[in-house]
Amino acid sequence: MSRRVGKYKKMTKKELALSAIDGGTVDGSLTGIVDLTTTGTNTFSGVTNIAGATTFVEKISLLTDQEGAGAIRTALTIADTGTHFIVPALTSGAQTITLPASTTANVGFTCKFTMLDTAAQIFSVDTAAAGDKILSYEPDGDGDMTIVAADKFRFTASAVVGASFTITCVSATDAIAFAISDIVSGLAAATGEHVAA
Amino acid sequence: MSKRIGKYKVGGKNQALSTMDGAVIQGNLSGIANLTTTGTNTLAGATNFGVLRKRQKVTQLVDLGGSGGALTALTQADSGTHFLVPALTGGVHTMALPAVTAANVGWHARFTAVGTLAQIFKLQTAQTADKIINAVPDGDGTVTKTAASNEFRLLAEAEAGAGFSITMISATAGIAFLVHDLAAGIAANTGEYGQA
Repeated sequence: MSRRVGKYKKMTKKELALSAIDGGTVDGSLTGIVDLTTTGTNTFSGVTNIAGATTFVEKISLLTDQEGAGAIRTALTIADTGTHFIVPALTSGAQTITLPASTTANVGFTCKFTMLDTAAQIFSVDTAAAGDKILSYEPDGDGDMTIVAADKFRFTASAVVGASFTITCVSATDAIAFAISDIVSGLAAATGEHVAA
Repeated sequence: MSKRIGKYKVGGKNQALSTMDGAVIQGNLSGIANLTTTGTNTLAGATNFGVLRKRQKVTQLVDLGGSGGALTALTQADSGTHFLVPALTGGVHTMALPAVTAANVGWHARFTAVGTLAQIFKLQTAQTADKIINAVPDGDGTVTKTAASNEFRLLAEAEAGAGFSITMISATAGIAFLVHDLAAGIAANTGEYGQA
């Protein structure tokens, strides 16, 4: 800590230790706060209950075409939870992104993928291990679905702008680790854009 | 409060002035850069985040066995939870939705089957007047729309992966809940969901 707090110089070590005005570690709970304003990174690692109305913006991450087959970025981790990934047109080769491991700590991980353009190449969201399965469904365009317990969930090369899906780690049990939801079709036919493998 | 804060023994005045061992603050805190907590955080007022990186709260429901019955009713504290519905034995399992009040508007949850249910799982409104707007897929691209249900169900035929979200969209009982974002667990995309 600084040896100055506000306008006061020559603070004693004891005064510095007792004051939180210039930051500090609080060993206990703070209650009774009316308005709380922070400007940096806030980490709430315990259960957080928000009873009031909540406003926030999604974390949006635009992926970058790698112009060749392979990983489009580093593997996803719990730090990526809540992110809405935007997938650009891909120029060459199937491009992949790896899901987090299906561990207890990762249960609740969720993210969304949306095409920004016509994919032109396969974009594949892959489990980290072959035993980890994705409970997935592919719209067939006629009202029914193709159901697959898959290792990968993909945009096909035919996927166009607006095609989208959400994936969530729902369990640490490998066979039911991930679930697909909120599929949005970009094509009028509502088929041929999402495929499990 | 402790008579000691850190390594310092402190008198009553210093204890009252210091927040280093926790405190009740009568006013506002601002100017904080990074905030880290490890316990339960309750933000009772309107809360404005910048970019929010969130992890879903996932809760595994438990098969009651026997002849089924009622699971613990849902409350505001369950908002945002993703409930996993296991294979059920014995009989119909029910779960009551939160009361339709202004305070509960915005409440939402998701339910996903993680096995073939074998028994009906019903979400029920707390009051008969409270209604659920829903559209159940018919498997041919059409849906059966019902704007005034008291129950929304995963049927016994529902398989792993079937899931839906439900949100309290209004404190007006007749339009209180909306079911949305249905996922299919069976290829026919019909026969997994029901309403009453």
